[in-house]
Amino acid sequence: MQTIWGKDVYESLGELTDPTHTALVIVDVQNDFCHPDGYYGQNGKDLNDIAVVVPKVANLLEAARKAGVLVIWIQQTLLPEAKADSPSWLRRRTRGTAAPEWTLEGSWGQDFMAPLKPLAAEPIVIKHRSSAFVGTSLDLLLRSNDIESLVICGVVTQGCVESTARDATFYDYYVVMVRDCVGTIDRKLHEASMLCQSTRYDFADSAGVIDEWASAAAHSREALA
Amino acid sequence: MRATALLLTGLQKAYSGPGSAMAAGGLDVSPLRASYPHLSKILAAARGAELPILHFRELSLADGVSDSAAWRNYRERAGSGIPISPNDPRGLEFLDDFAPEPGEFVIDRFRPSGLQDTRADVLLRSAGIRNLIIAGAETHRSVLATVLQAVGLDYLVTVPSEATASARPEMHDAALGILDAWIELLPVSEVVARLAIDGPSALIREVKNADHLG
Repeated sequence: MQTIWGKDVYESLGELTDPTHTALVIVDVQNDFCHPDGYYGQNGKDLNDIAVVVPKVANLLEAARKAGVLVIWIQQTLLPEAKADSPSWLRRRTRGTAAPEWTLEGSWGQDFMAPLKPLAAEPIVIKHRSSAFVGTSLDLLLRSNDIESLVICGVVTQGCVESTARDATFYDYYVVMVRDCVGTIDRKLHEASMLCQSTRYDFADSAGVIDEWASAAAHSREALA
Repeated sequence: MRATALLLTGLQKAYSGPGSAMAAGGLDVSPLRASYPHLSKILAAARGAELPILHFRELSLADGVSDSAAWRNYRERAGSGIPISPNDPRGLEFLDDFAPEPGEFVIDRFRPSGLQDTRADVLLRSAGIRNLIIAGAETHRSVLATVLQAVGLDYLVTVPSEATASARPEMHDAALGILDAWIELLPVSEVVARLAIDGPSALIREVKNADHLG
C-alpha cells in the first residue's frame, strides 16, 4: 500500500488482485473470434496466438472460481439489421471491407468458445461497442459488488481488451492486464498495443495471478478452519 | 426517418399478475390494472406507426449480484417486497397483453431508470431517436426516474397521462404534477391521434437553439 495525497493506493500484486475486491473480466472469447469455424477462422485470419491464449484463460478462470473472485463474461453482440449500430459506428466497422457480420445475436458465433462456459451465477454483459463499459451494466455490476480492481483477459488485444482496460482506469478501477491471457490475429498489432498499454496500468503473468489467488484461497480456508 | 420511440416500464406479472408480489405485499394494484386499457391503445398505435418499442424488464440477478448495499436499502425502505429475479420466472414475465413482439427490444434494468446502466441509450441513438413516449408503472418510480434521465440526456419526452399508474393514487398524482413541470403530458387520445396522422415523426416538436446563437 502506498499513501498518495492522503489516499491509500494499492501497490502489490496481492493487493491489486485481492478476491474481496477484484473481478476477473473475460473479454469476447467467442467462437467467431477464436474457433476455426467462426468468422475470423473462415475469413483467413491467423488464430494461432488466440489458440494459445484460450487454455490459459481456462486456467485463470479455474483459479478465480476457487478463490471466490467475481467472474464477469463480456459478450460482443450484433443485433439483426445492425439495430445497435449508429451511422458512425457502421463507418468504423466497414473500414476496408463490408461490415463484418460476427457475433450475431443467438448464433453459434456469439457463444463462448469451449471449454469456457459461464456458471449460472456468473453475469454475462452483452455489449455493442469495443469497450465493455459503453451501453452496458458492467459498471453497475462492479460497484454493486464493491469491486475496485479488474483482472483482464481475452480477445482481441488492440480492440475490445484494450478499450475495456482503458475505460476501466477512467471509471476508477485498478487494472491488471494478464499478458499471456490476451491475444489477437496480428502479432504486430498485439505487440504495439501491449507496448502502449504497459505504460498505463499493471501487467502480470497468469502464473503470478494464479499464485496470489491460490494463496488467498488457502488463507481463507485457514481462517475458517 | 424514425425519430420517435415508445418506452414501456413496469408491465410484468410481479406487479399485478396473478400472485403479484406487489399485491402480496399488501398494495392495492387495481389502479395499475385500470391503466392497462389505455396502455394497450398506446401500444397498438405505436405498433401501427412502426415506432421502435423498448420494453424495460425489471430484475435482480441471482445471488444479489446486481444489488448494491445502497440499492437493497432503498428497496427495503420503499417496501418493494421480494426482488423480481430469475428464480421467479413467472413474476419476471411480461403481462400477457404487453408481451413484446419480434423486432421489439427487451431491456433488462436493475435500477429505476431504464436509461441507466443499460443499452437503451445506445439503441436509441443508433436509430436516430430524439423523441420518447414513456408510459407504464409506477408513475412515481420507474416512469419518473426514466423521464428525468431522458430529459438530462436531451430527449424530448411525452407521457400519455392515463397510461401511467401507481398503486397509491396520491403518489401517482404527485408524480404527474412533477412530470408536468418538465415534459409534455398529453391525454392518451391525443397521442393516439397524432401517431395515426403523422406516424414515426409524430410528436416531434420544433425546438430552436437559443435565440442569442443567431
